[in-house]
Amino acid sequence: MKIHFFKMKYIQSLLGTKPIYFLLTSFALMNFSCAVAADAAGMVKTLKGAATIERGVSRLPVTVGAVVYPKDRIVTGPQSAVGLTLKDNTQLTLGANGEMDLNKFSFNTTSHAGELNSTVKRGSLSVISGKVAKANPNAVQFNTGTVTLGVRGTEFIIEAGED
Amino acid sequence: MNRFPPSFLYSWLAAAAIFSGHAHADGYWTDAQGQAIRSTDGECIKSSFWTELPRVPGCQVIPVVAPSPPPPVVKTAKPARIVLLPDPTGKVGAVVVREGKSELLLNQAYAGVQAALGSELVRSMETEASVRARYSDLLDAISPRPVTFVVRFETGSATRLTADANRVLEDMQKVLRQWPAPQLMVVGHTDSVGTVQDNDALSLRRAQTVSRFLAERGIAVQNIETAGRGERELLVVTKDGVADARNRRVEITVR
Repeated sequence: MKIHFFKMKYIQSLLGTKPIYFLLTSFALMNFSCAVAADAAGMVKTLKGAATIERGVSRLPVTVGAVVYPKDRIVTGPQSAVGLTLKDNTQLTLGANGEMDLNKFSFNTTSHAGELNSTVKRGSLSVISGKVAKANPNAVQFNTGTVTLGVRGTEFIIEAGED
Repeated sequence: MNRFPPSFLYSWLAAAAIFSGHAHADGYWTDAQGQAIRSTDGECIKSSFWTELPRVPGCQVIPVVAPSPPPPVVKTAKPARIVLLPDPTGKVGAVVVREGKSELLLNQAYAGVQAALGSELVRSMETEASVRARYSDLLDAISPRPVTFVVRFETGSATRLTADANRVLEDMQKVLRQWPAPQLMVVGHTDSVGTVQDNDALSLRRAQTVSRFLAERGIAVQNIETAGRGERELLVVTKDGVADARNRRVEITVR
């Protein structure tokens, strides 16, 4: 009993926290691994200059052929741009000094049910909507700091404002 | 006998220390240099000798303390912009833009909206040239538009492609060679004969046939995905239960 208590204390001192936080941390890690294991949303097809994919705590340089997952953030440098094609043929292009969160993406290849939600935090995003928007327009939404866009199809550009 | 001075003397010393100035007959407290001592408001502090007559230069006019400027109103220096574009065939979709409770519908080519934080949505009208001027780098970086190729099957077969399939696949491979990081979506379709479940299964088998065929032609399997859409997406819309060769197809989309 004493040894057990000692061990608990030892683990706590390593974590610098209480057992409940240890549990919460475990859950957080589980969620994180789930996010990584999720289906790919799309792939980088064009790249100009330099850009980064932020995935959890990882920072990955963008390359043509890089896979993009839901919850990824894409950040572009000056005079840079990244062109993606998602699994449902949605084409997203982020221009220079841009920051875009792919909050949600899912696509059922049989029913075409799915969801697309993205936030343009900085810079400009060109959108050519795909099969999800065609099957269920209400499932596709884009945001900036100020506005929300409901998509009824096809092509547009969103430029985020600046405070 | 008490060796310390009487206590009232302490309070007098304290008062002298606080003011560290002299009550001049000029009517204001002044410092050692003869300058008027001012309050934090900038007002000369009057002594008990003060009269209406100006004695110390400047003391009649209370120096104007510039009021601290009001905090700048936080405004979006650059409004968010939305602009709707036509597709290459000239077709225009629609976008609903919402900010708080206001909502605008864009459904014309080059119709735009500007949205500054805390302001109303403002409509704008762009042109092909103005969009090109502002967003040319962005437009040039758009990924290639997915291209679809269609192959068909001999009647009732999920394995025998029609004779022209080879030519279609040759065209496709030409496109593939130019494509950045190509991925293929191979989707089978049926006509409306049979149940939905049977057609889902049949369409998937058709897609798998084509996908094997593509793999044999040297296309990396990890880039090929198959799906069956059954009778959900008839190329030629028919009533249920109609056999139509045009609907029995596999669409290969390069993206």
